[in-house]
Amino acid sequence: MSIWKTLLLGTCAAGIVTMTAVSGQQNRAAATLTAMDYVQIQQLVVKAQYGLYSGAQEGRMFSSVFAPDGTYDGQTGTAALTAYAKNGKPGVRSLVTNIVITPTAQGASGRHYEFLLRFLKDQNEPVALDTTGRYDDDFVKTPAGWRIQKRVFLPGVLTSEATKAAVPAAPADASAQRPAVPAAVPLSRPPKTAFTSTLTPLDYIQIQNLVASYGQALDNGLNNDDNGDAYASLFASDGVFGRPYTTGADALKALARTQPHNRRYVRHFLTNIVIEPSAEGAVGRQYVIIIDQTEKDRPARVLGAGHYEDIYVKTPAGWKFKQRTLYPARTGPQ
Amino acid sequence: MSRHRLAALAAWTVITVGVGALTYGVAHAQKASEAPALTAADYVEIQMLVARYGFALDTGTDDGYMYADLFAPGGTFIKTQGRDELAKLARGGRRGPANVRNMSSLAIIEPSAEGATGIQYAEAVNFGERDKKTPTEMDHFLWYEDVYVKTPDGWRFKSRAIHGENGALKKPFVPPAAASAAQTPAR
Repeated sequence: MSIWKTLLLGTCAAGIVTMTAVSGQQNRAAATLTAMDYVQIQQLVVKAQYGLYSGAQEGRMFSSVFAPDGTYDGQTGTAALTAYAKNGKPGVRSLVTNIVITPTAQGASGRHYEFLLRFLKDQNEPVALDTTGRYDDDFVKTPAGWRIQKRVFLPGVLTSEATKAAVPAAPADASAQRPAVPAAVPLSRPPKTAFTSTLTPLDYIQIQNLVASYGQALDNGLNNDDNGDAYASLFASDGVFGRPYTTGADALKALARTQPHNRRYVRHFLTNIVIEPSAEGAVGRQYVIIIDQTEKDRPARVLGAGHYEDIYVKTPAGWKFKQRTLYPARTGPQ
Repeated sequence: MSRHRLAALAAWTVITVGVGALTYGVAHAQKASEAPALTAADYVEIQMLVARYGFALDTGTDDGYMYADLFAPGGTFIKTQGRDELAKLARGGRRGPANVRNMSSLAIIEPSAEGATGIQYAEAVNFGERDKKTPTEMDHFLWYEDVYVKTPDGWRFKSRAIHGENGALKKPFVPPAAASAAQTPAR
């Protein structure tokens, strides 16, 4: 064999070994995401929102978060997506909430909620609540970083349709004594040593995901019509929902099934997810606004608002709610 | 081509590639020193800072000092500066019937020479009260423009400015029953 043939064969063999190693790494990487992966994907979601509504950089901020062949709303590719967002959306803005990110074989998938706010007049006027919906995303890691490969928007469904999915609650047993609502979980002053404590960045991200999943599990069963199982799975085996006091998987499932739900239903919008370390694991709170989509193309209405106070515990199946209590809005210091 | 010329060409190639690599390295190092990369911990801690902002402002916890302590020493909210002055912003005023809550999306965070900068969409919502049957209403929409710095105590606001896209706080909603009660002399 000539020296050239030997060299050629050697190069091919080395190439195959390298490809196999890289491919193996990618397969392994698909099983888990690092904290930085989650952070970068979260950043894509909020950049897409800001870019779409503001039209920042003549639409390029919006298109920059998509893969070169990324798709959204019938638009494919950077040029089409740039043109789509070029003018922004005058007179309307949105909040994105409940960002849930899940590793997949191809990279990651994500879901989040959005509610729209429509400007009524010029300055010095309040805005009006408009429609709501949910985004389903497929993310892919490109040489330039994480990007959105495919995005689908699912508008919130009408109340009358959604309530068909709700199972009425069993009549309350008047003789049953419900335990009292658990004590409040106050936040401390900003912890000075947040990241030298017991929580890693990944812990914070996983708890953010747990909290964001709460609304989605309750409202659409995490894309699975049965919201009871999805809801109960977020609690530790001895986990407690504080108001009405509910504990145990069966009771939690029953509680969830009394809520209107189906795959496209949107309702519990959670923002301002604060998490801090505690002796038991972690504690936290969020604001919640419960929005009900009414008739098609008509503004949504607010059913309720308040905040949750939580205790989280790390179980072999990941972070779970040990205790979660809803505090409906009231006047004065909370 | 003579062997001598080949050797000269090879030498020039090595020098050119070497200088190129050195230039790239220096340029890259300079860029990195201008905006050092943020770690996942940095991003997460900044997200916690901006999420806590709403609760600290809206509840006035610790007499407003939870809010004030979200700012670095010398940090500013628009033109307000100083711990005591910042604490005053979170003390009263927006509670009561208006009961406003600053609900916000996650921030877009970018590394910068002095730490990080951010943009965040937010909506001020007047939370209704279930017991009093007051409605929850949308108020004004805004976006925050932030500069964050890493202090010995963690990430803090160096500055936070607001850009109102529309609107201002509405007058407090007064339920008809409360309004008529207020006009009725106490017995």
